[in-house]
Amino acid sequence: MVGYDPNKNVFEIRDCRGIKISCSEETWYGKILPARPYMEERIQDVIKAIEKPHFICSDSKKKNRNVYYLLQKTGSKKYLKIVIEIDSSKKGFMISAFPTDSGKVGEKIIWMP
Amino acid sequence: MDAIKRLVKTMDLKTNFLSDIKEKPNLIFHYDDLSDTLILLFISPDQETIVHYLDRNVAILYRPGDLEIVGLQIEDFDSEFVPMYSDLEKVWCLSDFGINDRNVWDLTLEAEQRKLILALQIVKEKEKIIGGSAKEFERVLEYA
Repeated sequence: MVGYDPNKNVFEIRDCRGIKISCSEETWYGKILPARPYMEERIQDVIKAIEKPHFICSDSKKKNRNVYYLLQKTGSKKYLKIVIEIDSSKKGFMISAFPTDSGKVGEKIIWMP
Repeated sequence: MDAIKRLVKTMDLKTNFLSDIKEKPNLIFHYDDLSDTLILLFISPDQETIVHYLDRNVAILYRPGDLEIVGLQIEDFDSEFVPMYSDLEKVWCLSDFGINDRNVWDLTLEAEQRKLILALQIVKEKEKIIGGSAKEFERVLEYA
């Protein structure tokens, strides 16, 4: 997409803990899709991973980031991993989204349903 | 709480795709400053790849359909990974790569050689972590 508006959001939702999470057009079209164009068709999975994750981890390095995991059982078994940065006013912003088959060293589960 | 279950074992990943590359590969190189992640990929980014973590920084990228290794992903690249290796620091410089908006797949021709040197150095520095596929990565990058 050419000419995205950095002030517009692709979505703004609340996560499973009630935290407001948004993803700007700049992040979605300017960061995530250039690296992984196939994620465009999976935006509903991204939203599901934030609203109903299987678990949430602390980031391995940054205290202000949480990592959401959605286990996906269709096709090859994998997690959809979403990294969210949460600011001091408890608003979250999406940083990255991609499929993975494991957690990362240093991540610790901080929330499960 | 429970540890995160690993769904695919490293030993199950395959290197046939890399082994079959006999000529100059199409190395795709992507850096995203928001997530501070570098991706090296030998297939189109249109194809899905799964991130398989090897350590805190380094992950293999593989195709979910056949488990063939097709690339590498380095996280905390500029902030953590590069400063650990002085040789990488010499090669990695965003402005020298012609990266102005710090989020591009394609680099200028002038940066082509540095891109390959960088990729080779990453593989060499992490050879033990990457394991058996490291040699295949090096061989393919030498073709480039």
